Amino acid sequence: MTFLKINNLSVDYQMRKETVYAAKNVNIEVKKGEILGLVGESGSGKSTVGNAIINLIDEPGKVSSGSVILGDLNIHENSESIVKYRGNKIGLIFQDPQTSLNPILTVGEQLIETIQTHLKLSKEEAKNKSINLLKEVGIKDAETRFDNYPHQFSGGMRQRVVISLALCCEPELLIADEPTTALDVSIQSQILELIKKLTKERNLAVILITHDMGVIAETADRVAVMKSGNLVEIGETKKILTKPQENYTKSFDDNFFTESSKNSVMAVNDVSFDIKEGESFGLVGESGSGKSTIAKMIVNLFKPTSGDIFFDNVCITKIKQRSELMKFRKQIQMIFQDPYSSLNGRLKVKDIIAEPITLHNPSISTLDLNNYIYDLLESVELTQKSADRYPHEFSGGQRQRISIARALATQPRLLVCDEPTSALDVSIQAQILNLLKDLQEQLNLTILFISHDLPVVRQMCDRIGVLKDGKLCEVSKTEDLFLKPTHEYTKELLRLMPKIESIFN
Amino acid sequence: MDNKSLSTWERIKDSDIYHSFINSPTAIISSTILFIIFFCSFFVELVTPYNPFDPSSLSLMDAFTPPSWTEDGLAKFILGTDGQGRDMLSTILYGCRISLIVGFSAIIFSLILGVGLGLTAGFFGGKYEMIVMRLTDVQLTVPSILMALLVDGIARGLISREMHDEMAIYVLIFAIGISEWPQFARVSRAATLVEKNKDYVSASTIIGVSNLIIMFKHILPNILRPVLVIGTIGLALAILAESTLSFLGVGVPPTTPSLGTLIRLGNDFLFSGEWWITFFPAIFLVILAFSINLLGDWMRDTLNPKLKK
Repeated sequence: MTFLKINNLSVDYQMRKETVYAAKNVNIEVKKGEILGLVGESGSGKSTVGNAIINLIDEPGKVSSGSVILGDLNIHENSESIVKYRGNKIGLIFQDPQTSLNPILTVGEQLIETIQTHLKLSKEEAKNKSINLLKEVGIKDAETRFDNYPHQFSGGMRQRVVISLALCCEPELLIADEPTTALDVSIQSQILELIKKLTKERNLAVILITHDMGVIAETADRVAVMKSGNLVEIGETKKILTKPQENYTKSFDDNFFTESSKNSVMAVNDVSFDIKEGESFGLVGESGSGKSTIAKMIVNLFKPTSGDIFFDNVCITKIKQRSELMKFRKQIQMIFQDPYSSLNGRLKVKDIIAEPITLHNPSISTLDLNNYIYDLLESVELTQKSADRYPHEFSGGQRQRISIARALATQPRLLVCDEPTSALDVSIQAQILNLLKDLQEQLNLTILFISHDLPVVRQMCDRIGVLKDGKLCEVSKTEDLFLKPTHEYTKELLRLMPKIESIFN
Repeated sequence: MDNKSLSTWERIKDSDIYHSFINSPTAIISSTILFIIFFCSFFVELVTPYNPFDPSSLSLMDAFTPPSWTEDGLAKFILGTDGQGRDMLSTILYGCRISLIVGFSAIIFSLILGVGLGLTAGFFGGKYEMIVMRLTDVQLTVPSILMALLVDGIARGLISREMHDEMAIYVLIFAIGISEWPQFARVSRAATLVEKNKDYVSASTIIGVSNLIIMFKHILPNILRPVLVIGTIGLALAILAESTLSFLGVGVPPTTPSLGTLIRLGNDFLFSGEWWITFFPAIFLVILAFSINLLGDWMRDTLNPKLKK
């Protein structure tokens, strides 16, 4: 029986210059005991639909047409009534467990507060109920953990607490907005298992919003694919993944990748590897494993505490003289993860690209400089007109192309790519990766490719090194690593990687 | 994406800042008032029929004429005259020019000093940063008027009496400038700390750009927004500080009076009934400072995306 019915829902944002449709005539139905996956790139309107259900759309957005019917209630008919259902009939799980709990209250206090807002229970009863809930979501020693503060829990545990909060008033509908995006792969699968288990046990209707096809393949019963506010396709997960009807869904499947997580700086311990000229070497690991630290040491942003880095048989970590250092700066360039922070927004594209050229060749004539800039823009498939624009006029993928053009301007031999595609949308990722591959062939570049994303690395690299907690576990040829991993951790990583193939088993 | 064909003016007209300006009555009114004040003060010779500082124009016969709309008022002196028969309106506009010159120069001086120290402190860090930031802490514990009085006192001791009147305006600029730099240093250091960790700075380092160029070509333009916002509000403070100092008698001398000097001079006549001599300069100062503050508030709201609704 259909529990939640979204009829012809449209949400639009009245902007100064135009009206932006965040969702357009969306029709979705969810049954009890079912997980509906809502997938799409960022900006596709998947979160908007989630927010429309609970009437939490930010100004100036508004629901312009359509209705949301929960059981036999029309939610948008009476905006007062939604307050009663939020948290009561509808539970919410947010993306980031760091920010969705109040850090100055104990977990228990937050649970009791939520329970007492919606249910008429005494403090004692509420406490018992919360402890049971914590047990249900898999928190050990629930009685003692009850009095702990959120910071005393790990990321995964905290997300469990968030789930228990969402469940505490016996909701019938659960909306999970990217519930595992901020978590590491190994924890991701545990949380997904938990959501699956709770759906069956409590007969919940669940909407799982994500951009990760792997997550969908493992958890969702049915899937709805969104693009630019439109519902492209909806149906059984297996059917959509194996026989997508729409072209967009097909491209989405082909390029499915998992999401980025933030890099934190951690010490790197006793890591040794070498990269041959013209090779692409991949470095993989979870966030915090030290991948970015290694990248920054290679491009000489940090100095290692001990150990050396040799480039062309010269130790680049011990160079003192600026002129010597400049020679290596010219040969080793880097592409960054976030194309929004890696370009100076106050400079025109041509000035951004000109900077390395004029720095290393101050006598270049204006004509040669302009021609060189146009050549570089052409090689990253941007028009000459782009040169006179500012970075904010470009999309994320185009910005990453500018960033690549800048890195190539000094004609480097080694290109360090630190998660170059993880901040980009799925359909753009593939274009950037192909561009990098083409450029590598044309220019005989050596590439160090850093990523936490195994499918990407598999596509890009000849050899791969696996990092964990600052240590290198395993280095081997790409296909060997995927087919016969030797180290335990590599096996674990491969096993936990959400796979589309799981649907076929 | 066809922005390229647009002229600069069209680009400005299309920007969010222009749009927010057009839709904010406060911004339009305050900037119109400021425009009129700035225009009249800087082209004061063209605007006013009298030069109050030309001794030949003084006429004691006209002294203490009340404003034109009162019983004894004369039409040629709209806001009346002071004790030497000088036209109040002209005197105020001349005085306003001095106040504005001192205010602008002081704020530019403290901007250069504060941003320079804050930017380098944030960028280099370490002991240098610590020293600069402790200096701002010390400076902030001393009230700025006291600081300015101190500088003025020292200057009086160092410069001969005849020289002092000539030098007074520079001493004043220095005194106010030196008391306002810490806030610029703090804001620009904080903004630099954020910017220097962004990838575009790393990218420039990897390319091999020198620290000096990274600081001034890359980081400086990116931290200017918050600095300019507090700069505008600082301008109002600097003008008020100048007036306060002049009112206390340590500012510019009466021969070239600023608004503060005029208020002080008029103060002597307040209780003998010639209220207009102090009232008009005072109300003029209030309008000036208030307009600058309103414009500054609007700028802060517009330039800070976090406050956007």
